[in-house]
Amino acid sequence: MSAVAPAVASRFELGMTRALYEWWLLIALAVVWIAASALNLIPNSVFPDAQTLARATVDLVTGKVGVLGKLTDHVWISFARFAAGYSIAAGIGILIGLLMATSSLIAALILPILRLLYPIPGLAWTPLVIMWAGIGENAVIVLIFLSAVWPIVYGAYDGFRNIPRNYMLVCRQLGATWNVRVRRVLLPAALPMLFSGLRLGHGMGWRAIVGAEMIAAVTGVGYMLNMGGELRRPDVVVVGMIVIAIMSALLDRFVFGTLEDRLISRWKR
Amino acid sequence: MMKDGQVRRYLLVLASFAWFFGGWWALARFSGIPPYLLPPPQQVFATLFRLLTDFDAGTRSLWLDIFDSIGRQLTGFAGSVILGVPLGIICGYVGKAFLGFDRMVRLIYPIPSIAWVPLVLIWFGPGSSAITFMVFLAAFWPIYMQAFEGTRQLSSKYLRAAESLGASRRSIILSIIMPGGLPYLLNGLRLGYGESWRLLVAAEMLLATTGMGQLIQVSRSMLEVDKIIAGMIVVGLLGFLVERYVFDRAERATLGNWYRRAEEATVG
Amino acid sequence: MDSPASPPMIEIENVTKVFSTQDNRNLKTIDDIQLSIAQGEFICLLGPSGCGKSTLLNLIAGFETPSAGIVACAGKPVVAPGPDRGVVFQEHTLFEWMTVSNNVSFGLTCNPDIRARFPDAAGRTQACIDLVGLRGFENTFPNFLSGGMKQRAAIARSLAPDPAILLMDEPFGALDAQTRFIMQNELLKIWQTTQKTIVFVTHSIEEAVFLADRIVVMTKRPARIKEIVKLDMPRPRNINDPMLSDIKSRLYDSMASESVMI
Repeated sequence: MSAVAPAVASRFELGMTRALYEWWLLIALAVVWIAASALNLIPNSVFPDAQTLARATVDLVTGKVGVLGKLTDHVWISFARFAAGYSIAAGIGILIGLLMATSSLIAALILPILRLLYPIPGLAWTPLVIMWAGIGENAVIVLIFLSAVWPIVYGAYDGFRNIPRNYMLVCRQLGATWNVRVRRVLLPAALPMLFSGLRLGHGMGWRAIVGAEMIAAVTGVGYMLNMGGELRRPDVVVVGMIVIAIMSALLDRFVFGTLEDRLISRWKR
Repeated sequence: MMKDGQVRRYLLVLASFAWFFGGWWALARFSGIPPYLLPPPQQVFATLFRLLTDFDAGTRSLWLDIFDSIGRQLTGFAGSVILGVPLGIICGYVGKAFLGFDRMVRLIYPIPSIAWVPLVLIWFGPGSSAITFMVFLAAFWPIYMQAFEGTRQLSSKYLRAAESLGASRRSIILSIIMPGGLPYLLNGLRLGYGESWRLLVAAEMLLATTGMGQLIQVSRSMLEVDKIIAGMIVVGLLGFLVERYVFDRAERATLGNWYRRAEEATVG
Repeated sequence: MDSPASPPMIEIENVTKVFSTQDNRNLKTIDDIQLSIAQGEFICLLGPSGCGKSTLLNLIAGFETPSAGIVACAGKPVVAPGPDRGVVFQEHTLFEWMTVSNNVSFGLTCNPDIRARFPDAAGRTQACIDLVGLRGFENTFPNFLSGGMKQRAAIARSLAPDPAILLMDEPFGALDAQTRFIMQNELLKIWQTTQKTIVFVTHSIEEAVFLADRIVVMTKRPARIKEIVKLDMPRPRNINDPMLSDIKSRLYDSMASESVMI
């Protein structure tokens, strides 16, 4: 037992030193920030000090900042818009990618258009979309769609196109029904690339929603963020940025990360 | 025979443009959507041509907006290259103490660059410097990440060997990390450039008084849809041209020999 | 032609296959082949690579249709692929996202007819896995198996719907020499237990001599039957047996005149 104890201790120590190497800067910054806040050294018009940030958070959550509304409402609205725009992008994107993969003629007719449209930044569509859909819900959803759909199309196209021919031969030989072929063979075979397209599209769409809400909406986290800027309230802005980062990390890590572990990492090497 | 295939390819590209612009034209012509909402393609191209060739003293030339945008883009991009590449290499290789910086970058990274706009507005006020900073910010992440990743990958592959042979740090960086990391570096630059060009337009809508983003945004309030679309075409084209003629070229000039040979082998 | 005692399992009558290439030329890969294979026979198709032996296999499998002539299995002309003719490819055919046992049971559950024929799919799956020696790996994904084990699983999958015929297209071509030898022995055991009719494509003389009842030597493209070599030796065969060596050297000479091209 005495032989084991030192080994454990040293591994613990190693872990601690490693953690220290990784976190020293953040810890140092946090300490400096809190200390400066305590001494009232931070000009709140440039960056919020600790107490201002805490107050802003509480105010936003409880909805006490008048024009800015309640943080939780904004969060849910943004989530709902994202879900709507992203689902449409996923549905249409997968469909187009699938069509392109099944026929080289369709692919040849669509690819040049994709090359034409893809370089146009998603948010550059904003004024056009506002003219068509007006400021509000629809505009934001369309903009999310326009940003997220391209990587999804490419992912689906690559995924379905690169299914080894032998898989289909095996299906024909064993006499698999079309239902079985699609559900148990084609979809899973295309999944890795399809999924990376979906994940990339999620990142693009998420960035788009923040920008779209800044310009084309009067609710949502992006709107709140923008208003914080207009009102010259760095505290509000920083809270908004943190909320956005958490939301996007949650989606990416927990939704997409979990799905990837469940559906792909188990069997893909 | 080779020619037949090429003719067929060009015809298909032509056909794809035909259905796209034809469909657009038909939609504008027959759907009853008023032209101030959906102008036909020929009108958009006419507007684009007019804007590009209009050098009247009384109106602001489109070229000025293009140059403004490109200027901000290049300045910000240069800044993130100058800062991002060395930082990525240092954090990836020199090591331990700099991991703290890497950790901080990774904590900030999930914040979409566009979310920085309000804070940057507060810090810089609207104008060119705010936009240049936004470009810098957007390009920094991919450039830094790729430089870091490349250095990391190389260290685990070759650096042990080089170190065991007694190579100095300086010569390791010059002879292994720089050439071996080139694919990562180029990839980072390409990603960073694309990312920041995309952001630039949005930032200009929110923060600027000139530039392509502002041109598009102002055209909206004037209900000039043809001008909006013309502006979008310019933005897309500029992004595409840089991608195609700078990054593709650079990649081919440095790494391309293998690719080209492989391509020829599969085509011929 | 030697005529087997039992009625033939596979009958190939004057079969010709012509492909049209992209620039509209006709490419004859198989020219007037006549062959009949008895129930339970182990046939090796031996020929230079690219000669069209895989095309012949695809014709039997029903992936291709002959340009002239008829292929019949168990008395019925072949019009499409079917579960009565199992196929094992060289590689890349196990579904990566399914465990070994799901791969094997796929053929038992993929359409209503076959489901009715095998009410005990689980039992049948396990039996096939046991047969190829993969017990204990039922829940492993293919990417975590060695090359030899992958081919075992592929064989189990094609055996699961109990086909009368097993068509194998260079199944061990991608394996290292030792694994290949082990797999050849395994295959013979499986063949002896299951009494399947096997058509096995290979370009390796050693492999053909080790496995086959009859070796069908094919010419370079367009493929014709050059000669059929009958081997009556019991198995397992010793590859250094003088009689086999004779046959081998004869086959080498026969192949040498065909391998000039390509």
